Amino acid sequence: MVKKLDDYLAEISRYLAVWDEAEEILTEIRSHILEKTEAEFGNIDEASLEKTIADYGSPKKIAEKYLEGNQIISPSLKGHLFLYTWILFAFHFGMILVGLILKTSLMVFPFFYVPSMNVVQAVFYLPMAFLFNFGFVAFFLYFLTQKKTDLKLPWPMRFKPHFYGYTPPPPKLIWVVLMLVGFGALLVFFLKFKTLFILSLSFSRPESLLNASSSLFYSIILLAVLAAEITGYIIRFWRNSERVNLVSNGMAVILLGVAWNNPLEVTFLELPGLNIELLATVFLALLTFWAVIAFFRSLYLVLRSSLFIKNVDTLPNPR
Amino acid sequence: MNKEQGIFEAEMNRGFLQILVLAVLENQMYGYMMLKHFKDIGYEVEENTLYPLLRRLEKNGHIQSEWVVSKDRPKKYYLVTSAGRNIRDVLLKKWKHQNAILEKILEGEKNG
Repeated sequence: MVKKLDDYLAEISRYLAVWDEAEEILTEIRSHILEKTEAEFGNIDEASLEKTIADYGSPKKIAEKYLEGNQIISPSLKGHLFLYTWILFAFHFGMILVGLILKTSLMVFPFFYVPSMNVVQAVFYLPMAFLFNFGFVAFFLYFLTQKKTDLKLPWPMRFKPHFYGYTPPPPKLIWVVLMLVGFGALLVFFLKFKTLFILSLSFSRPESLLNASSSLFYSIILLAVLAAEITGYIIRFWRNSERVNLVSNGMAVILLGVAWNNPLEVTFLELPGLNIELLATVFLALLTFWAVIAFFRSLYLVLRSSLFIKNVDTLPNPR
Repeated sequence: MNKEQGIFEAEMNRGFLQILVLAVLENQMYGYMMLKHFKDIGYEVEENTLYPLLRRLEKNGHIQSEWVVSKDRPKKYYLVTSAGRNIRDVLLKKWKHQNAILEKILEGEKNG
């Protein structure tokens, strides 16, 4: 007879995330249901219990009523969740870059471990790093909420996100002209010498800094990165959105990822007192650093606009 | 009643129901008994609203409870505590004051 009631209570217990009180709450609900059944039907049998249960409401709704005021993370800490996640991710990201440049694994006890990776592996590692940071901050804030502590957490204004959506500054014609002139000059140079990396400025006998095939490969990559960024900038005259930046920065990251995984053999010009290989690696690392930072900044702004900012048009603009 | 009205009413009833429970529990009562009593005096309240409220009031020390076994079944009886009485008196005073303000505004509108 009470099997239906037991099943019903078991389903409520699935939603009752208050472990220390759950058993007592279920005992109370059982008692309330039996009281009601007896009062309304005179006796307690399978049919009368079924009717009372049907009238009592869905298990999920009942559990929600008992959980009112039991927040997983306090609403006042939701801003901290995103802000702290991004700050932590920036730190994590910096560690990944240092690990990439030094070609080593890094560890900051007890939370951060960055394995030794190549650039492609690092690009795939980043989303996992983000999720770890998000989870870590969420756990910390969950703990604070459950403790009901009145601790005032720092809110660094420097990192405070824009709450009212984001539009990149409008593109300027002068920059387009300068970029196109610069790009045109590089293109002419490349078409003439089949490389962008030469040591001698003597146009009659240029000396490439690295072997011909690799020189050609890296020059094409660099031109393609510049082309992607310039095209993105020009498109913003018609559609000034961070999504355009996201695509062009994403293309730059992919192209630089290809550069780091150059399948060709590379030999550098040997010069006394000058380590060209080291200089080239630092140059490529800086370029990659810039591109990845720009890409994740765009990703953050686009995601935040689409996921976390509601009804942007209806909010007053404080600026 | 549409959904929006329902939300407004639920918000309004929340405070009122707390005062009502703290007032009615001067006499020991169990849950269903209270529901019946409220219904008899013209105030309908859902059991899913009343029971979690009883639990919260008990947790905060405003009411106390005891399990009484009758006809082989345990029933939980509730009674207001002195802390509950104090808070009830404060809330009642506030509620009367708010009511008087509302009356004044509505009267002003009627005359003006």
